[in-house]
Amino acid sequence: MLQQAAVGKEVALSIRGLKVVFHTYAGDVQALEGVDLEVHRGEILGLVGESGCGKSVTALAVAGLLPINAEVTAGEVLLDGRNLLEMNREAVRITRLKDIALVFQDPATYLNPVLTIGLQITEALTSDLKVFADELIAARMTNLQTAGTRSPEEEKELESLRRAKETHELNKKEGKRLASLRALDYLKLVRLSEPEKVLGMYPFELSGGMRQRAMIAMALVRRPRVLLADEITTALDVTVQAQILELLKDLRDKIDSAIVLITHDLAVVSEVCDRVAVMYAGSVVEVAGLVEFFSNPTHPYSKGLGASILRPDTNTENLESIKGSVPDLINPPSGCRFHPRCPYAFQKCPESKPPMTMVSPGHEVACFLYGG
Amino acid sequence: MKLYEYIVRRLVLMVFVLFVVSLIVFLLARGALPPETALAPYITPRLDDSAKLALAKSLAVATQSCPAWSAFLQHQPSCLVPLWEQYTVWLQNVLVGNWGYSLLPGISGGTTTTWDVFTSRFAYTAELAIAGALMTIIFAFPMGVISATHNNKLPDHVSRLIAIAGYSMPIFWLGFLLQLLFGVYITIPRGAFSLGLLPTNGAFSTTCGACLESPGTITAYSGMPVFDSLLSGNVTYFWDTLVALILPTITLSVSTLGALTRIVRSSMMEALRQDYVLLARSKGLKERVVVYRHAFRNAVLPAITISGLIFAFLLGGVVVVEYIFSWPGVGAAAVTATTVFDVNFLELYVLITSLVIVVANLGVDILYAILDPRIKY
Amino acid sequence: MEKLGPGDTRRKSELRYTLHLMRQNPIVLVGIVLAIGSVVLSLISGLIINPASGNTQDLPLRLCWNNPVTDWGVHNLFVCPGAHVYPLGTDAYGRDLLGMIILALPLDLEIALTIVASAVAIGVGMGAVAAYAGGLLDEAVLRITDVFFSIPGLSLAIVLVTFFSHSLFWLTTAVLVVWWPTYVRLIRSQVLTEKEKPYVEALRSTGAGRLRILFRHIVPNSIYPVLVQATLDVGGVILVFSTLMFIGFSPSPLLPELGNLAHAGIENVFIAPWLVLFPGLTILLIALGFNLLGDGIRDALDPRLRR
Repeated sequence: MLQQAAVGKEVALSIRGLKVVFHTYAGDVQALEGVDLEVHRGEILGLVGESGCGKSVTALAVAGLLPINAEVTAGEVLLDGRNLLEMNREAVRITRLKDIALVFQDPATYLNPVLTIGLQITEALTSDLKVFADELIAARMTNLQTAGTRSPEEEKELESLRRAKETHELNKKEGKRLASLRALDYLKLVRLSEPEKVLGMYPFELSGGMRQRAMIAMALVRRPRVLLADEITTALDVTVQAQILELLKDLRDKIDSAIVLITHDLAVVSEVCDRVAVMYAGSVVEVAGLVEFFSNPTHPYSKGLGASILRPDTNTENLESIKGSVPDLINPPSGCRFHPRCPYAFQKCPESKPPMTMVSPGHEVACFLYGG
Repeated sequence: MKLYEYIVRRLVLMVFVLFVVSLIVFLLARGALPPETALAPYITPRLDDSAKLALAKSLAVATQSCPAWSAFLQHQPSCLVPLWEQYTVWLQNVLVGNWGYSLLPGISGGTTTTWDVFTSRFAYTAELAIAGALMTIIFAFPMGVISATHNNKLPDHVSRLIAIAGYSMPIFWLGFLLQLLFGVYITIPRGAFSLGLLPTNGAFSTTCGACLESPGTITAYSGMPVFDSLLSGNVTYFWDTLVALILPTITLSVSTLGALTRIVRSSMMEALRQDYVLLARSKGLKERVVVYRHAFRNAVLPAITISGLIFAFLLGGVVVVEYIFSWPGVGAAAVTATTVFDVNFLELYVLITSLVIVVANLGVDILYAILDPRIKY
Repeated sequence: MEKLGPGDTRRKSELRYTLHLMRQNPIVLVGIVLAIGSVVLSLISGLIINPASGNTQDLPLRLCWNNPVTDWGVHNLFVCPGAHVYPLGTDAYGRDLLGMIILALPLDLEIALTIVASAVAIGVGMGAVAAYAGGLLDEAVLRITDVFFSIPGLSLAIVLVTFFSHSLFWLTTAVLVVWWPTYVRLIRSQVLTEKEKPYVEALRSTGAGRLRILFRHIVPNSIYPVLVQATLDVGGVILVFSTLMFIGFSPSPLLPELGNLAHAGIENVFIAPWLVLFPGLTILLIALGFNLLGDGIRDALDPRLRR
């Protein structure tokens, strides 16, 4: 089940057959029912679906941050060939530190109100200094070496950095200093004005858009392989939203990470994503390149989604909605979970879950109409 | 400069509160009791009637036009001064320290001024209260945090039971229980007798367990024996007074310890539920860092605001503890004052303890303002 | 988290949730047993023990003990003459201590419930009106509570009782005066948040009177923390009240009240330790019961509200 829309680019993260159950007082919620997803380096994958379809759960499961009452009952999450679900807690934590970063929806509540932005950005780097020491040293050395003319202090600094490079060790004070410098670089990268000032500011002193940029900087400063952005524009004004999306496009070109943009808003997807994956009731039902998806949506759900959006280029007067409502995940429909609402459902649909079949290169869909 | 404004505003509120407390205390006394009681602190037995009348006039308890002491005693209307006028004079006297003579027997022998009673005893109460507050804080925070991080597991259940049992205990019961245990049942032999392990009376153990024949001297820097002996370098005295402090402090703080533990626990649990904790974990930070740098720093803020209330509770409990342990502080004196009806002492006692509480609350508020950046700027 | 399905799933989930809580927190059951037990015992106490026995002194029998379970290890233990075994010894007036404790239960509980109920009524009334009205009234009420919070409760109660009288009325009033401000603050913070909610505006637009909106709608929605606090306070009030009696403010030395029974034990603690220990233990158990119960209620309500 390889999705090779971005041909030639390697797979950064691969999720296969992921099943997650939540044990609640009302019963067991079958939140994820076999999610299959691949994300490539340097691309932005849009993960779309309505609230409750399991997009955030997927992100949390990848990062090992599911709540206590959640249980992963099947599947694998492969990063560099290692299955994250089989690693012990400490190893997963290190993975979160180095390789996977999350950005969340509401920067007002996700930033710690009593700590400065600077601290919240650098703490990831300084708390496990060994992990980042080499990177920090190398980055600073490159900065100094490419600077052109150097002051005597900078020469001394370069010397001590060379020595540190040999020993691979960095003392705490040096580490903090280098981390702050790196934080500054990333604050500039996310286009925050007056980044030196921002380092010492508290979250309540910043506007919503600035906070969101700071959160993005917090995620990127560790240079993760995978960035999971969960509804990062939902809580923002439309104009700020547009700015953040611009920023994302810009970043995609500059950094090497695989970005998963989780959203319920197809408009956002059409702005920035390279590929689109649609989720419904706990599994991925369609994956396609951006243009292919919007010109040729194949899954009945995707078609319904497309039809329910008001677009300036069509002449629709009535907003069509998908009939029925989101299924109860404690007692989900059998087989294909969409079949009760599907206008094309036939007798095979309730029998088993449709596998992903290829419609065209890079375009796959989970629907018996197209095979399987 | 919002911090500065904040402090000034709190100070103004402080003064206002003290003013109202003094008014309440005054009105209660003068309202419930006949005017002669107001003179009791200033009258010595040697005064004759005309001297008494002169005193009453000078204190604005009797009007200048009052004809005779007997007329005053009969509460004739020409002798009675309006309450607001009495209040202003009373307040002035209080503020300059003219508190009259104390009726407390044994302690003062009838000729000591109330001011002296307070100054000689206040340090002991302060020592006990500070020890109680320290013990409460030192144990409650760690217990609360552990309870929260091990939510619903064994440490939580144990800590919860201890905490709730703690503040369900009558202070006097615990005090006596400890006295029985350590004064009667657990003893160390000493010469022909067995003496209790820990002293049960007074601020110095020189008549019991960890007894010492000649402890030497200490210079009174603050009046608090433990502190002074430490500063004077007198180790034997230091130990002696410290040991004497153990049982009363435990008795005093068990209740507040329980309450504060519960509050820290719920505050921590609240903080651990917050979104920023999820983000902190997602950054791959060690759990210890998440708990202490992120959750605890936020949880500590509401716990600190409660500390003010806790201090008020401590000062109330001090009365019972001093009574049971014969601790020479102002609380025990207040109890004696109720038996000899030293109204004046009681008025001042309420006023002084309110002052302490208000100042302590101010300190707590300033601490809060420093810790929470949202207030500073 | 996924939504719950139709009606019966919700009821089933509530039952399972409550059972889950019980399992998670077995100690609360202890609280329930103690609290209900003490109330039941106080209701039937008149049937078990003859109330008149509170007035009969039998001085030759004072401070004696003949329960073979222990001998307390004190020298000069006075063993009760006669065959009748006093399970908890006798008090300073020769009365059966166990009987006196049982007699004291209804008095203590009744007074505690009176105080708590009155404090709730006054506090909630004042606080709700002040918070809803806002402005100067709110500010004034807030300052008044500030004043009361600056005076240690026990001290204020002592002063009041000394100035007025040691009667049960004044003792009750003194504790009430100390207690009501807590409820003012509690209901005030709840009402302040409630009154901003849209349903209040909706109600106002229908022309409903402000007092009616306040007491028929806002207060019932804000009442849960008050209920929790009231339960906890039954224990707290008994503690303060009995401590007052213990210090010596009882109207009559013979009054069967838990603190008062312990008061007589002060001078005799090394001769007759049971006199302080058992009444105190009873107070502990009652307070423990209500505290555990209140704690359990708080836990049951709180996370629910977040679901």
